[in-house]
Amino acid sequence: MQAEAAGTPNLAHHFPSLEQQEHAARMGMWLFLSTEILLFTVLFTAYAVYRFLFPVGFEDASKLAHVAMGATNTVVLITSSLTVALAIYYARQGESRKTVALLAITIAFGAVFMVLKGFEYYHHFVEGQLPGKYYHFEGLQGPGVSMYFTLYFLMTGLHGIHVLIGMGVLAWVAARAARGDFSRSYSTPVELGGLYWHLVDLIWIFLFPLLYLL
Amino acid sequence: MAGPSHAHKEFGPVQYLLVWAVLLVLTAATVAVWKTHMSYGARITVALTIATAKAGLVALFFMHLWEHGGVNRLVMATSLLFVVLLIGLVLADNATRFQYANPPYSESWSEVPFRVVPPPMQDQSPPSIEAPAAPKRH
Amino acid sequence: MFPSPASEASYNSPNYLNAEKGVRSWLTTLDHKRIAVMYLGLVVAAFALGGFFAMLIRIELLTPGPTIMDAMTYNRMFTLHGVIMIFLFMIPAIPGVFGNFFLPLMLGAEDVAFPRINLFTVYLYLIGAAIAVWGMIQGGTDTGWTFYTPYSTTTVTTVAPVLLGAFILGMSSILTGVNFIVTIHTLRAPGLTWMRLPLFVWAIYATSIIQVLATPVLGMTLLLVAVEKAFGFGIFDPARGGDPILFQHLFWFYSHPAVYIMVLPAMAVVSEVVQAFARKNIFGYKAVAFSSLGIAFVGFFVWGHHLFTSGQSTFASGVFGVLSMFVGIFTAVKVFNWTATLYKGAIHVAAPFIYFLGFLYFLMFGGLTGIALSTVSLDVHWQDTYFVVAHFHFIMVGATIMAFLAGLHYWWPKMFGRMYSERWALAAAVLVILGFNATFIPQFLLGNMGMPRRYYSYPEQFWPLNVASTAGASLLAFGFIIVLVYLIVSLVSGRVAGPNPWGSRGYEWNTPSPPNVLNFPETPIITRGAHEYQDAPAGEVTHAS
Repeated sequence: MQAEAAGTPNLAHHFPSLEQQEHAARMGMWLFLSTEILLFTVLFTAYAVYRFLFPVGFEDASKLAHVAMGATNTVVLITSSLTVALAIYYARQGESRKTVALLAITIAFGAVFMVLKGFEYYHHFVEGQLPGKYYHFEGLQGPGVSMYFTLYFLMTGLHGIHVLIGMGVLAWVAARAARGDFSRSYSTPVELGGLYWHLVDLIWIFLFPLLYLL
Repeated sequence: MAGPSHAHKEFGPVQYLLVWAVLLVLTAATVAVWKTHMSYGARITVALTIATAKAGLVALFFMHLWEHGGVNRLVMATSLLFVVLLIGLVLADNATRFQYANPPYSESWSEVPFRVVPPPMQDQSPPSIEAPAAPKRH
Repeated sequence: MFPSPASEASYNSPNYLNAEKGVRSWLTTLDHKRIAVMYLGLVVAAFALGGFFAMLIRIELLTPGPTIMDAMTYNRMFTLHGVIMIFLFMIPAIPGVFGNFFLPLMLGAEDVAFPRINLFTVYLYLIGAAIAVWGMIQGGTDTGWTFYTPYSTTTVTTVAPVLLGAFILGMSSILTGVNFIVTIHTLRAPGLTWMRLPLFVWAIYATSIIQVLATPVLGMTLLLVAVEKAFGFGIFDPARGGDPILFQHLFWFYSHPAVYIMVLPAMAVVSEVVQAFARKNIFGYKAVAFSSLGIAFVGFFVWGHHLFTSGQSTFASGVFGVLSMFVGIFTAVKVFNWTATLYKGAIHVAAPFIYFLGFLYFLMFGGLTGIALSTVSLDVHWQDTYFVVAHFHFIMVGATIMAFLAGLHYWWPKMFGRMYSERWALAAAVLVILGFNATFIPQFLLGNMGMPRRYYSYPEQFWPLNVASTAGASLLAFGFIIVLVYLIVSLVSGRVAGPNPWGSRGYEWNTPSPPNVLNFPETPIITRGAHEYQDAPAGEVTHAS
């Protein structure tokens, strides 16, 4: 236990090996991801209930969502998942420069996502398609319509916050990679950051059809 | 490499690009389905199926559950089980309730028998006693 | 096997209390044992605060009509009492104190998997608690700890700080759960297979699963209430198409498993105490271990029994009622096995054992009234009466707090190296058990007679039983204070305890008292299950001193 620790500066004293530590870190991150899934499930439950109760209102209201922008954002996030997966791959190979570059591209994609989202939000705001009591779009009124927009803003808003957090996490990991913290034997933070980013993508994969297409 | 624990050949850029391509195809399929005129139930089923397939690809390959799964697969599966549980049982309640225990003018309400409009909760105005406006439907 | 604990000379460093001095060393510690002791101080303070508000409630209920406060203040009192007791004591106490202290020791590990996250949970607890308590004193939320809509979204009192505080406390709970699960999976000593794990570890594992899966739902739901109150988005407002009962579904999806977060660690402690004080291996190890997982799993299926009278469909109520009865089966298995462990055991009657007996009795009656309440046709009459109040206090105070005290007395010598006064401990235990009965049995009767809960006044016919309940509460409070006093006194002048004053064969007793900073000088190799008394080699088990 002591001998291995002397040669591996990243090994914490209470873990018998670096491999064990990496396994533990990964499990911890997966458990944390499951908490994030349960967090979003609350909103998915509300969505399911209110779509069930107001099928016509939701169907009409979802036609006001911008499918082209939503589809573009889906492609953006899926591609960002690719780039972060590649970043992890190159981190494992010990190629820090490629890792930093790919992480930077991923963050850029995240920024593109947020910008497109911003356009959508702005348009909805201008049209008066806002949540709850602020809804005043004359072009579509009826039971369930304002509830659709409540859920739209809550779900995409919470997701957007997670995109921003993910961008921050990846930026920190990229800074560490640029500093040379990672090597062929130790690149766990890159993997953990990537896992978080993939979760952000996963949530959007469900949000897109539910909010834009149905 | 990351140590001797990885018995499988680790995925490389080619495999990731392949998965990415499939994901794009599935995304296109989702949008294409939206443009067709399927029934409501069919559209929901297809959309959710495709979304699940995409999510599965991301989880298995980008998130490495295929390579070194084990307990992490169990964590993911368990959380999905509870997602289904929460949504399913709550929907079952709303679906089988006495109709007026659901929110006003929701699908389960048939002909509204009374004439009082419940006031919005945030302001203090008393309830009006006119007939409620018929909700717009297509 | 385990290195000999008796000789401190086999260690090269002092025990965890003496290792570093100064407040700063405590505030920045990564040692799970110090973190546990900090949790102990915090939860005891929270318990005292919550108990103070309980006494105010009981004093108000001494007479029909206003006694010392008006209705609004009374609503704030029971909200304060509920929020503090549940979020600041019941949820974090046993995992935070005994889980943190003993999980690594029972696994043969040096620390938990993520020590820095462990320290972070203490600070999250502090911050969340401070915000919640400050918020309640400030604007004084009066919604009850259940925050039901539409009242919580329209009340003039300030709810947001309490919601934020509860959210932060939830994060502390989640991170503790993640830490424990990973620790149990990855830091077991060589030879420690799953089937040799102490039962304490199994139950903490089940608790952690619930913490991870259920708490995020509460966090998001409380956030939605705050958002609706602040911005009027109307997600629970019928005028906007919202469903107030949806809040109840989401709230209780967490809060019912939450009661298992509270009671499973109590069962964890009890499994250890009963084996040590009957000096006998548990009857039916696998049944007890798997029933912990069963409670964790099935406990997620039953939340609708809190919504029987709220407008939930009769179909759903029927389903939830039946499922609620199933979850009782696992507890029954445990009660049977604990009792069977006593049979032909060498029982040592000391304070932990008295608390165990109290636990068993209260768990049985609390649990049986729970099964009665899960019968929809009966619950229609008992819902929102003192019958429900008495039921959950039997489990939460009667079972869980008895188990907490049992664990505290059992492990006190290990944690602090001192024995408390056994005479005072026995007297206090009897006083606590009697006081508890005097407080809550009248409440079963009151509830059955129809007295509603959360009312500051009541009709004259309920007066005598309320007086009886308040008298009992005073006895109970007195008992708790005595416990606090002699335990603190023991730190200063108690008899120095050896490594194993009870003669227990649990793994954690193979250390000096208090344990060394590094827990074990080298990783132990486990070759037996815990609590295998019948095959103890001669001389290993020191008899109770």
